Amino acid sequence: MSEYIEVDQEIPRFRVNRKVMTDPAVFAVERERIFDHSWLYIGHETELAKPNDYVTRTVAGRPLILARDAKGKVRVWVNSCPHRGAMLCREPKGNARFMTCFYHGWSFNNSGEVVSIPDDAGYGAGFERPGLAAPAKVGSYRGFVFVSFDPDIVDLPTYLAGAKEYLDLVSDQSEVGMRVLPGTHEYSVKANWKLLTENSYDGYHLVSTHQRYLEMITAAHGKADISFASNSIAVNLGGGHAVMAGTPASGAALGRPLSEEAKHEKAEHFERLRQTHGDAWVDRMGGTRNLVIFPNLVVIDLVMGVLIRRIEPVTPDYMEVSAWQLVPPEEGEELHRQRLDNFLTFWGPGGLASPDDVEALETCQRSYAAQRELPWSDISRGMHTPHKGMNGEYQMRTWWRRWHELVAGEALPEEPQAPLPDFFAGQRQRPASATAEAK
Amino acid sequence: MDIAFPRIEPSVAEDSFRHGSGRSLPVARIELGGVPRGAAIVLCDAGALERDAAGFMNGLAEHGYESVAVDLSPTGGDPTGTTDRDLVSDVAVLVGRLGERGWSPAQVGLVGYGFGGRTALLATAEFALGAAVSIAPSGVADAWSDALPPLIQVARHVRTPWLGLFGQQDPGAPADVLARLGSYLGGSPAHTEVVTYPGVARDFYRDARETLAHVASFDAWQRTIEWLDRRVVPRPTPLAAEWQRRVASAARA
Ligand code: FES
Ligand SMILES: [Fe+2]
Repeated sequence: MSEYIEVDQEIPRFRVNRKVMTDPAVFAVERERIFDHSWLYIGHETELAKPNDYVTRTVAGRPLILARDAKGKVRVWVNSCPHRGAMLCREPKGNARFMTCFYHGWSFNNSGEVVSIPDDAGYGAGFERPGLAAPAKVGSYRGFVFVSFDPDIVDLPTYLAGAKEYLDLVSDQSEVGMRVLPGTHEYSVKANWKLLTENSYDGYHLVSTHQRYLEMITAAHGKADISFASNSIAVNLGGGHAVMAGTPASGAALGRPLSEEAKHEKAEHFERLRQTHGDAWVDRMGGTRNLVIFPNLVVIDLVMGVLIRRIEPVTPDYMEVSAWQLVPPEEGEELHRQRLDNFLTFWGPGGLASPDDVEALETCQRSYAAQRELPWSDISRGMHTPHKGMNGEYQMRTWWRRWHELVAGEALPEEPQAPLPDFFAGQRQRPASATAEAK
Repeated sequence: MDIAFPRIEPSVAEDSFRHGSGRSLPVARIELGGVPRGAAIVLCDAGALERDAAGFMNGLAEHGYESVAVDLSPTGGDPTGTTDRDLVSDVAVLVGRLGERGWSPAQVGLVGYGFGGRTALLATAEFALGAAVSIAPSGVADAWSDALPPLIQVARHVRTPWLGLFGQQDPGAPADVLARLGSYLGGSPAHTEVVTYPGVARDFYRDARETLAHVASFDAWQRTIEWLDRRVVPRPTPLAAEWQRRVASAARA
């Protein structure tokens, strides 16, 4: 057992040393062993609607350009001029077939080739003109684009393991393809980045931390029914990925009550999805899911809204967070309006929920100054039973086990998980066309 | 501009638009030595060739674009009425003229002012050029003549990335019509953008002492050049062409 995590299977108890939240040496090891060897989310294909659209993002400290080239192919480039380093794109988004470095004026196309060098006679005929650098790998699953800086990493579907099924559950909610809305929520938290991964699928804190939000729900619905938590589950999806998922009771509980018009539209939409995907799959869609894809991608689908959140560690005690909303574009005006409202009131940087999470995490970080007196955080909840619910901490332990394997080079003992209840094992029915072909 | 570039006097000669509207019109030209970055077609506002062409063309030349400029607007004694189709085929003639100097359509930017801005938008639906900018296009909400209906009725989705610049107080381009035009064009396969300058009329692209007007003219020109630089395919220098050949043959080997 390392100095970072202590597992006692007898008690049972799972503890994480607070040093991992503050120590620059741990941070440096994470950069190297986790971030240089994982698939990391950069953006969604639908953020690039047209040829030559681009967005700029910082991924694992690297400034990157995510672009759709002139031919429509999604590309990722390092946002640094191969000449002497100036940043090529200094805007968060735009449309450009050519990017000209403002330092000495070298110009590149979005396929990465240098197209012009001012006064190039100064280089002689044998000069090797450098193109743009790129991360070792770029991959995409259901429109979610990931990069990896490790040329030897497993392919993206293998890496995503069981998380694919939950990305499918989210992506299948539109008949024309889910789309990211323009605009990014950007905020920062003075806390270690791992605290937000834990928080993103922490069912236990809902009632205590989010009193403010639940009061709003109570006022709007006449009650806040959170009994759904009792039949929810936490699932280890492999690869350090985990999800906490609920039944349709959970999907109905959050968000403001829908207007009659919106209720009607939603029912019709789900009815059409049933025709395509079958009842078992669409029933599951109606429940919530909080998914963390190791190490730093969060997808939260509370049915009233779908959030994509990317966590960028900056220093041991500071992270930057970007969040986007994923929507079915065919949705009518009323349902869409209510979805936007839910998104802002729950997750908005000035909403009724996220600021409380930020406050919680920042106080954790401040208090870790006393780690000599209080070295351990406890993550044991639900360890004594194979039935893993959303109010336990199995999902976080799953994440920490992978973290430990990579950072400390040692696999921690697994814990038994009861078989999935039937509801959560429901699969997508094969489309009619595929069945016809198979005959 | 702080750096004084030598001013180039464009050569002006009658050109025949036999394969276009059939007219014969004066065309101004600036041809550059060395390896120009790209080429541009400037469509001047009605009756403004003499007044405007040299200034715009010199501005483009400072950024490495050689250019041709013309006023395609129907002249007073045009009894039959020039049609939109005529105008678009006149643009095709100009694209052809640049082709004779070795410029491919992707290496050509189209910049139109007023009447020319209207023509530029129509042409972008027909041709895949490098980039196009319409500055204070006229005839957006109202018909220019019976043969030239309002843009809001005849504009089609564009194949060339298009930038439209408007003065908020331009009575010919009311905000609601512009919003409709912008959202329609947003459905185009190519990227489009509409920018409206507050507090200025339709001649905002001419510099003036008044602050908002000065800001608008400065910004409009800056945006125009950036729009072209980001999209017009640059002509390779001989050394760059040689390098491209080397890379291609290495890829084949
Ligand atoms: S650093 Fe980009 S051109 Fe010199
Ligand atoms: Fe929370």
